[in-house]
Amino acid sequence: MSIITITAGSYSNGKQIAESAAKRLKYEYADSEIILSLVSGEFGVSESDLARVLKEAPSGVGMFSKARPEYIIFIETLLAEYLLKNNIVYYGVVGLSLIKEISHVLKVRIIANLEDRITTGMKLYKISRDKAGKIIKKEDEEQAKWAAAVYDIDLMDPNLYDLAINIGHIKSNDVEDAIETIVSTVKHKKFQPMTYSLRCMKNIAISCRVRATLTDIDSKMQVNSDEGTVYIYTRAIKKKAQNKALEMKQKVMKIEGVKHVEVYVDYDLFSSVAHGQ
Amino acid sequence: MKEKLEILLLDDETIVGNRLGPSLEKVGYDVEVFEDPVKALDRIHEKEFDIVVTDIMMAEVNGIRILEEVRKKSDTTRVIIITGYATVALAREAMDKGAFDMIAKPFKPSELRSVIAKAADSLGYKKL
Repeated sequence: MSIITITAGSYSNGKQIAESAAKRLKYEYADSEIILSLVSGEFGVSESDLARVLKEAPSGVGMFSKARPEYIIFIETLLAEYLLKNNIVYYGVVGLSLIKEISHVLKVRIIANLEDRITTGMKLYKISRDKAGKIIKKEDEEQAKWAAAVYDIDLMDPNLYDLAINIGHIKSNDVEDAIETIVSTVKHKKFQPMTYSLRCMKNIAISCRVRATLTDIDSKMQVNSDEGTVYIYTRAIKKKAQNKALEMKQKVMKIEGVKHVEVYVDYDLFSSVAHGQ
Repeated sequence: MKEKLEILLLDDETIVGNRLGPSLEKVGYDVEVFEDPVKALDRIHEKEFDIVVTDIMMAEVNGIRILEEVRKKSDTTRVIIITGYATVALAREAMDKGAFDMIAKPFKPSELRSVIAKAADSLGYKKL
């Protein structure tokens, strides 16, 4: 009934390890491709646009464009709802900060030697050592920049993970050992779901769904939820605050599982002055 | 197997025992309610309960100690943690030390009854 999340740098065998662990445990395997396809189907955004949002670190301009935060919210929503099923191995970085407080999620980071990664890259794409090295360096930098910009996290921070496996530091058949380590660790009682952790996961899924529903009104609002009660923290100019709160409540009350909505509006001082209030 | 499921309920807040105790008795459980963890611990040493429901943050003896003492006495007693201070670390510690489940406060009496029903089921009791 647990969930495993696995992240890794490119050419680090992360996907292979995740798929094999899922097969061994008879869990479902999911990655960003699967989630993006669901998002695309529901929200009508092309998978290539969604994939770009996950790959490119937001630039100064991108950070404030309307599309980026919306897309991340859509992806997180479908991911959180997907994870409610449990018995899943998820390979990917997106959503990492969403599930950090869920006790039945085993968070794994796979680390591989640079030399091994270069060799894998060379074989896979039939490219020179120099080119493979440059691609890996660029992708590592992009991933680190993305995680820092979107989640304000350092992917190499061990505190983010329950298990960090350096596959170049185990034995000759290191991928196999990594899979075995993950499979045996997740069976530990510590990672079994309980009423509390299942409730936390459900709360996260509802909060994400609320953000996705209201993103056309405010993509930067804060949302918390607990057992169907939703708390929304937004900003508005004083004159429009009441209508905004009402519109939000009406939309959110239609979401399955929502029983009560509270909207807290912080008056947007700059906009109020601009509107002469 | 005993006819009635025997439950020890421990929470240092009077209101919790006052609310949950009758709610559990109403559905046919035999419930002993404690506010003082030291007295509860004495009772746990005297008697093997089917289920122990305990708060975590209490003066003198905390809920993890209660869990450890129950585990020393019995492998079968199910321990359910109820807490207003739930964290990942606490959840994992509780499960690691043999808790059956953990519920974050506030919760409805029906949620506790549902977890107790699962615990009872795992002990071979028929659901009430």
